[in-house]
Amino acid sequence: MSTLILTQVNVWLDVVFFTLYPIVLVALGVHFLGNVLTGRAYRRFVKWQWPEHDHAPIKALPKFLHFQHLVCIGLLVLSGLYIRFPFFTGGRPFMRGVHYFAMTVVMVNLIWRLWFAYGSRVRDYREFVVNRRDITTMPQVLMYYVFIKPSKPHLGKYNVMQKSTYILFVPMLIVQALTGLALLEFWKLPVINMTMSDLIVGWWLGPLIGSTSLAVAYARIVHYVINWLFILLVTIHVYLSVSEDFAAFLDFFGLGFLDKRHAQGKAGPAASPGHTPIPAPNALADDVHGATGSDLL
Amino acid sequence: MYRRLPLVVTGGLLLTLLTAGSAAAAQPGMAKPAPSTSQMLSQPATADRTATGSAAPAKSLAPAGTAPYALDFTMPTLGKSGCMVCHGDPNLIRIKGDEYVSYYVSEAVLNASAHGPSKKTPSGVLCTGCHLDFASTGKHSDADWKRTARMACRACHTLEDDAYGKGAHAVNNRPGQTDPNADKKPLCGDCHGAHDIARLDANGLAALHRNGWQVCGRCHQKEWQSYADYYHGAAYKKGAPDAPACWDCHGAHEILPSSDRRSPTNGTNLAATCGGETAGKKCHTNVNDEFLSYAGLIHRRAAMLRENWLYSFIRNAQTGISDALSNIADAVRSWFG
Ligand code: HEM
Ligand code: HEM
Repeated sequence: MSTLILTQVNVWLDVVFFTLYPIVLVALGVHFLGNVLTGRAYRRFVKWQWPEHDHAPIKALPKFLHFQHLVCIGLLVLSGLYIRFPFFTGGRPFMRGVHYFAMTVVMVNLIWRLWFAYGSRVRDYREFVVNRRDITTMPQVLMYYVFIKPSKPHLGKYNVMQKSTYILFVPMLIVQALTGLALLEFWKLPVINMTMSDLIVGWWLGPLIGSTSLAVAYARIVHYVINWLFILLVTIHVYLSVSEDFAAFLDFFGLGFLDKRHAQGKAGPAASPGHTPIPAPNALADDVHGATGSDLL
Repeated sequence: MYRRLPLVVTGGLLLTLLTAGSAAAAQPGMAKPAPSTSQMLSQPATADRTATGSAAPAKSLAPAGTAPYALDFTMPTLGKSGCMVCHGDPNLIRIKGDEYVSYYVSEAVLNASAHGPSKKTPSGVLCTGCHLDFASTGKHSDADWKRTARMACRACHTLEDDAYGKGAHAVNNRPGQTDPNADKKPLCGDCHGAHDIARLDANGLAALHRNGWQVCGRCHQKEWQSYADYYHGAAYKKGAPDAPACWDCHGAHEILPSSDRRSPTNGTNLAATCGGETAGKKCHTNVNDEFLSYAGLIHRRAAMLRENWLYSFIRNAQTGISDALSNIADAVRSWFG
């Protein structure tokens, strides 16, 4: 009977996420209304006052890598949802092909981005590290986003919410890759004569719950849940990139350039609405603004 | 000679009009098709099949008093001779009540079908190969000719007929008791069609694979609707070539209810069925009992979705809101007259 529960779980996941997503969209709409009512939207979109940037304009390589993520995740969401809910006729072989192609690119891309973060000359991983000051300032950041405070502390390139989201993307993508590959039930790997399913979930989860095929059904559930986490987080990510920092957004798509004069991020509150620079002790400042090397690119 | 054909047909039509009343009365067999047939006719998808598929005794076409049909009149479909002289004409129709009924058989469709000319049978299967009751020297018969044609397959396809005889689709008369459902049971032609039966080459197999609605769904509509799980049903209905058609799980000629232990969908056989093949590709590996109970998903997901309280709550809320909105819209409209 455990397996009827499996069906129930799948049905519940469909219902919950398809309900949740419109709610999130509405919530983002309400949030933007908040921007309008508090005058943030006016200051930004009419008076064109955007946050200070530590590094401007955004460098080409991270931009390129991010573009690949954008395209690949878009294709993966589209083709993945098609595999589960075929929404037009005759597309399964093609959409599978799209998924397989994009998944290969995204996996290479992930390794490349991790190398860029840890191994390259730039080593921008420090931009993403959540440090103690991030955690202590987190309530203030949250209060800024729910309109209780007029500004949030400026600590580095990304704020604590951004950092944690971007960090979260990494394990999410790794688990997505593993559970995704585990869905390949039929293709036998050459030398070891095992399928991907056997290799990733079959040999350990299979015996625990019954069979490899059943283990694949569980892997599928995880793959599907993370798919929705991606959709939700990326939706919020895109919304905030437009509503909080449209200037960076435009720079990102080659439609405008960030102002180099503001590239230091140390301007006073008057010059940078929404940001309260916190004078940091030197040791910590190094930690936060350490990635000056990125100017080399 | 063929140039005169339209004339002949028009003349025949006039005659038909004149004799329409009497002809209809004279052919009880045609007016009363089997129930499955009428269901079939009620579906738009079958329209083309009936267009090319029905050939009726065009009694009124034969000028009164001509000699009875001879066997050598029912010639091969190749070359317009024999039956195709009249039935090869797209204008060959009869008026029945307030309907036009076509008696046209497309030679192109027929020749492209499995029963058209091939290496093995260069002349193709003759009309009379299936329309057995027209092989006589008598007039076009008034008998239930459709039934004859739909069952004529057994003359050649004996193995399939044997299997069919053992399945739930066969009429199951017992000593002293005729099958009460006899009228509802499908004959070969009800599932397979008539003049357009596909050749079993790659294209034909692919077409057959897509044909689940025609073959099974028209009658088993509930099952067709509930066949809506993600990777089998939903994908199959959207044309996925590797998603299983009805018969990939349920078997073909010896169709049995899943409660029957010989049925491929009976619990005892599920391992072999799910571990089998669709379109030449292996389906599931590592099939065991735990996995097999997951098969309940296949026809039950749709119901589970409907029974899901959150889903029905949202559905109700949706209709509630849209009703309220349209009420408001009506009210607003009424203010402005
Ligand atoms: C229309 C879609 C998207 C837009 C407009 C967008 C916009 C942006 C912007 C403006 C930044 C800041 C860049 C910087 O200052 O360094 C950024 C960073 C980032 N975005 Fe997106 N994004 C989109 C989609 C995605 C997707 C699909 C993902 C991955 C699932 C993603 C992951 C990230 C990550 C990890 C960063 C951090 C830095 C980097 O990788 O360069 N974004 N995005
Ligand atoms: C990162 C590497 C990834 C790999 C290796 C991968 C692999 C796969 C594979 C093999 C399938 C099964 C396809 C089939 O049945 O033919 C699948 C399904 C799917 N993938 Fe991915 N995928 C990856 C990333 C993603 C991402 C990032 C998303 C969405 C954000 C995604 C969403 C989906 C969805 C929604 C399905 C259908 C799941 C279901 O049927 O329940 N995948 N993936």
